[in-house]
Amino acid sequence: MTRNSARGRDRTMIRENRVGWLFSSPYVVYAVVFFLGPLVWAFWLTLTDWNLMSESWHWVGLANFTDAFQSEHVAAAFVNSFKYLGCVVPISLALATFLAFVLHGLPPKLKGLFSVLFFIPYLSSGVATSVFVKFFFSYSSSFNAWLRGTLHVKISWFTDPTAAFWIIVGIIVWKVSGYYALFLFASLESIPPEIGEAAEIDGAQGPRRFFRITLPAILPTVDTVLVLAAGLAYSIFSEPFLLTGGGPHLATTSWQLELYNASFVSFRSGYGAAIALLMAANIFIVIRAITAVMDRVTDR
Amino acid sequence: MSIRKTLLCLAVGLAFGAAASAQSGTVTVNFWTAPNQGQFTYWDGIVQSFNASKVKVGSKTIVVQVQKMPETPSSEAGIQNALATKTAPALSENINRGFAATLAASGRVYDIKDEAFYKSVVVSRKMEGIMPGWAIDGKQYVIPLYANAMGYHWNVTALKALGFAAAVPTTSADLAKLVAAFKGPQGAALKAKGVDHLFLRPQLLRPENWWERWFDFQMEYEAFSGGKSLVEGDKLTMDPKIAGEVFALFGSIGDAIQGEQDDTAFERAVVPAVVMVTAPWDIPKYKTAGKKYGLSGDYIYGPPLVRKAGDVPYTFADAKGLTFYKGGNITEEQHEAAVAFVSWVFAPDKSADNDMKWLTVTGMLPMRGDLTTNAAFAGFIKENPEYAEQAGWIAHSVPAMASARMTEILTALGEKGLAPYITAAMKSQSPVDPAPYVAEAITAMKKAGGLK
Repeated sequence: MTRNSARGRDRTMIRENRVGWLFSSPYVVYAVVFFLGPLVWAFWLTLTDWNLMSESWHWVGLANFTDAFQSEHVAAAFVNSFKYLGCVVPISLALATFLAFVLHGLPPKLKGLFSVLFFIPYLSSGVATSVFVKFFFSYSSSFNAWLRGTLHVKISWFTDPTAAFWIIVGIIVWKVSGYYALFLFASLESIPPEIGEAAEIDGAQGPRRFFRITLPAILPTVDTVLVLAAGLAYSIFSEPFLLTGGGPHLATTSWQLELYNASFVSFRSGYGAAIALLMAANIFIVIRAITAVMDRVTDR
Repeated sequence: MSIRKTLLCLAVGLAFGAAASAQSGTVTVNFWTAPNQGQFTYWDGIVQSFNASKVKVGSKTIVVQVQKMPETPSSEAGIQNALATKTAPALSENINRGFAATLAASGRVYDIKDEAFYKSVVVSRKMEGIMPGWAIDGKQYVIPLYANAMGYHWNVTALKALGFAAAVPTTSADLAKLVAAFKGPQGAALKAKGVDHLFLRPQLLRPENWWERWFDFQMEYEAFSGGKSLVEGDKLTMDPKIAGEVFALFGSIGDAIQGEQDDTAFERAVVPAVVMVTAPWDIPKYKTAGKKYGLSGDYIYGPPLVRKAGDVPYTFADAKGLTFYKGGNITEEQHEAAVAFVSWVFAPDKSADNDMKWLTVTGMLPMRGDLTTNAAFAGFIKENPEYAEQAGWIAHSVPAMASARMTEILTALGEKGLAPYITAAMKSQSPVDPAPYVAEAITAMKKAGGLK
């Protein structure tokens, strides 16, 4: 290559890079203003005792992080995040897979209608759902009256840590399973019918067909749903906020609830920002681990 | 017209506009009301009258603009956001003593203790005996507007069935008799009719709802202690012995406590409990449900229980008021205008009428020392006897503690003391010693609040 043609190629690359940056600039500006800037500011906030109201503040170094590591509430949120992860992800994935197959097996005329019906819980307001659940499980509800009167069973739904935890898990699984089912349904619909026919000819049916043929075909979508569900497990807030306040005995508290309480109830904004950063680190590590495992499974 | 000429005209126009605005002779005061329609309606009416009066500060006419404060995620967080973004009003209501302590520690509210207008308001509303309870480190930051004095809401039918036909229980000994009756044949007969529990109070088992400690523990602590504080400055002044007595009072009810949520219990035809804690805000709900108050009706209010007959039933008052913000976007001129507005509202010739309007519109008793003696309120109280009891309690009501760490302190009290104690008491057939639970609570409260 001559020097002139190399220079010409460099100028072309520079011109193309400028065009690329120009078209990318709206998102870059958006990311800087709404993500990177606040992230840097949040990190600065963790090093101060500012409550966002006072006109003065002081450096406190890593004291907010130290307080967070020593906090019983933050520890409970950390532990609960894994409990929610361990319950919400597999149950919602299993239910979503089941619903996807139900949809896949429906006549074409009904697929659209049922897709919408399965999606409705995802659209429902967390507040409205929580209010309904609160009344459903209240002492004098018809359900509890029947349990006590007919089955002679008395369950303290919101004062028993196990019962309260599973109520919240149940609400979240109900809310998202239909939504995830649509992802998996789309993936099932995209499997060429010839593959299914070939599998039948070869005698692969039932569970064997599912694990050897279907699941590998939809694995990338399962990976996506897994990551979404894992992220969801870390963003639980409305349900414990409205139903249990994080109790009983911190059994249902979450990262987001503790972050909210620190920042907007106790007005310890620096401490709340420290909780937020610890939560972000926790999410990053967990999601990274999940994607690493799924990458290996997908490669196989 | 060329672009240059257009821009020139625009610039000149803007300059004149700015100058005209500066010389318009008005000062605008932003006033935030509580985020509920009743209080907004009241203040909207007051503000319209005030603005029509063309009150001046200096040479400028005051114009008050009223709006509801944001309530998401909470009204306090809305104030926090406004102060942080320099969009705060000069004046707002809906501030309790605890949040006022946080604002005062942040240097964002005026100390009005030595202000002439403040002294005048105190005199016109007869609050001389009330205001010492609102001091924060010897200063005053809030003009209390209303008080919801906490008490007990008794199911009259059940009370009579348990042997209290002439009067409500008022002492801890009365409660002991009531508990014994409920756990005996009279109680069995009541349970057969659907009155399952004695005391509806699931909040005793919900320490995460820290504000509920105001309404159960602090209510009885004030009654038992004669109105003493829990926290003063950086010192935990809660008396362990009295705290233990309060724990034991609730614990004596044992498994007759209804620990499950049941928000509509007292709206039903058959009320499944004998008593619950309540305040005036519940009255409209039950009246709408067709309930009548008095010993010949469905429900009756009773004061907090005291140690012995004759003791004054001090109680906790869920009370909030007006506060004046400073710094940030708020100018000294706006503050003076806000002061002039409040002075006008509570002028000696207006305060009783305006407080009567408040009572009529919001259903909440104004924080005044003369509620039971001022003729302006006599008619209302006569027509609404359920307010009469509470009106008498206002003078003995104690507001929230003045600590910026109030939420952590009360959460610790519930988490480490009251909730575990009640859980144990509900499972035990014999009295549970409250002392270890009180000791745990004290340790946790000191740590949570940085208290000595």
